[in-house]
Amino acid sequence: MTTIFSIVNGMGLAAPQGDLTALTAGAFREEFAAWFAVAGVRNVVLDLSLAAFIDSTGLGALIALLKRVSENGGDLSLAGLQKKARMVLEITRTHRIFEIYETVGEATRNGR
Amino acid sequence: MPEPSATPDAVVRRDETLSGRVLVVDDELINRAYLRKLLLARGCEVIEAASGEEAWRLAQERRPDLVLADVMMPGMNGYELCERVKGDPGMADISVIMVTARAEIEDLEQGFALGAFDYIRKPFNPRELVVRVRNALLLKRSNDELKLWQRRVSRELEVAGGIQRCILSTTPWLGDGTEVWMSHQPSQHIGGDVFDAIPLSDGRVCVYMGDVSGHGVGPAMVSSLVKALLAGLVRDLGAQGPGAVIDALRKRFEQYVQDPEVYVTLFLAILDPAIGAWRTVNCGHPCPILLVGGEDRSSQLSDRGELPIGINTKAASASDTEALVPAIPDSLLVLYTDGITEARLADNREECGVARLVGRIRTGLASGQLGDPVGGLIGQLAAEGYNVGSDDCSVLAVRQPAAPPLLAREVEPSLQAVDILGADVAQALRTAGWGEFAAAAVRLMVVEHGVNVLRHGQSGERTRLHCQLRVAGGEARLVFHDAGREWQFEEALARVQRRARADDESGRGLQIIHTLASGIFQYRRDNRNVTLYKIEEGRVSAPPVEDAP
Repeated sequence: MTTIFSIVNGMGLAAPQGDLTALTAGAFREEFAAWFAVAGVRNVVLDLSLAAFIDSTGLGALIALLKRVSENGGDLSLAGLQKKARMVLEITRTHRIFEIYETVGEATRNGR
Repeated sequence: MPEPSATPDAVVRRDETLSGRVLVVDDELINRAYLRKLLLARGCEVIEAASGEEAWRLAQERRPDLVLADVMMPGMNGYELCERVKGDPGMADISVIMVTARAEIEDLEQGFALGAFDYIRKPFNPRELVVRVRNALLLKRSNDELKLWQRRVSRELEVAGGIQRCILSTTPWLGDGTEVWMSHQPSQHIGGDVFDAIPLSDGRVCVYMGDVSGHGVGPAMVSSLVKALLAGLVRDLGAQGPGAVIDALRKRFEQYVQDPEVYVTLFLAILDPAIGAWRTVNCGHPCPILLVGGEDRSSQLSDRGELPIGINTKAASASDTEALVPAIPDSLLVLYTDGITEARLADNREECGVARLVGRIRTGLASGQLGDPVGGLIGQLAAEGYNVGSDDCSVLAVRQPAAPPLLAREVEPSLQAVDILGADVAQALRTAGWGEFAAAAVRLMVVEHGVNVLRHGQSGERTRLHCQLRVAGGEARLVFHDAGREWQFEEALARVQRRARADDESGRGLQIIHTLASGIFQYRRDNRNVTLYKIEEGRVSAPPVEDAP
């Protein structure tokens, strides 16, 4: 699984191209860390529209990213979350700790 | 109070020595003083009370062995005191002797009716009093010793019962083609029933149900012996069929048990997948019950049989009486001991009987195809008023499901394999008509369980994970087993929850399973962890409802 990184309205946009699970979460975290260290952005939007399935390890990666971005003074928001992927956040009640938007457009509207 | 001529003897004869704590109750000081002197001189410990009320308080505080109570006292009289002491479960074993000037037979009757041990008429002869007190104290002491002994024996029986419960495990065996469920209730703390399900190679399974004559400690030891013998014999000789196992068991049993009154009835069956049937031998045991599609087909079973194990037989080999029971899909073969069928109703002594047992099993079957078909059976009969506690009750049900599992697979201990397994389980559920969301929920459970076993079950070949998925109606059952380190779901979940924080990056897998599953059962069998999850489609077909904050 790869992740596509870009910058929209001055915000970082990371879009994993597949499921976030025990199998893929480790590589995703490493890729993100490497990119975030040099991207020069504060706020980040995660485009999860292609991550149809997220398990607890994938969720762990999202929380790790949230901490990483927050430590840097920025916000992490989730966008395009699918129904099945959203399930794991709701079961674990972790959806409350994320800023969640329906679409990437809404998440990046205000920029920076 | 004493006869005029009588005074406490200064010299006490040897056979007049007493021991014990006596509570003397009399409202007259002089009488108390006299009795105290008399009893002290003979070695008693004496407590005095001047009224019934004071005596009641002292009895509770000091727990005397004997109360010597004057009948006529102001306030609480001797009768009332006696009634109270005898009516208190903690003090009922204290002897009470009534001291009475009234000698009408009605008075004596009243005293005895209230539980008094003896009476002494005033004025009394001191030697008579000593004799009566001694009798009461001796009886009390022997009762105390008996009680101590009983307590010890019952404690030992409890320990033995605990050990037997470990040996006589009712952990189900949930094979991909056949499943075996067991239920057991011994008559006292321990019992003489014996049963097991032993998986063998090549898809063979052996089940048996036995009943040792009598019940209590001796038969329980014999049942353990039979279980130990069969564990080895079935593994060594199971491939040759039940006859060979029975022949060998007879020989061994007769080596170890010489008492002609000790014998074992036994039904033993070995599933031979090559012929799609159970090869069975019945040694004097009640005929099993066979239900096919819920209908009673027991009459089709052979009634040929052998003598019980332990009774000398000249028959050449048990193989001669071997009978076949076809392993029909959607069938249930139920082995049981007669403690169930011979249980009686308390009011009219009516016996449970086989027909009623069949009826209860059929009712139980209707409640689901994925659960324990006999788990609640003994408890239900007890609730209906059958005295199932008066003999050992055991039941073992072999279920041949209507269809093979939706999925049954053993996967390598790798994240990749677990990931594929999860996706395939979801796909299988979709094919079976489950909604996309519910299928994804079960996929999530598979992945979380698999990852948990990989991470905590020690790495290596031992953690190969076996997964079996069955579906009936809107319910799915996932059974996992692995040979990794023993673990307990609830314990592990509690451990994670204790230190849980909102921003934890791990430790949510078990919580997810716990939320999604409608039932979680864990067993340890054949050195493997067996975990059973039940999932209701209706419960997981939509995201969980948000709690009010």
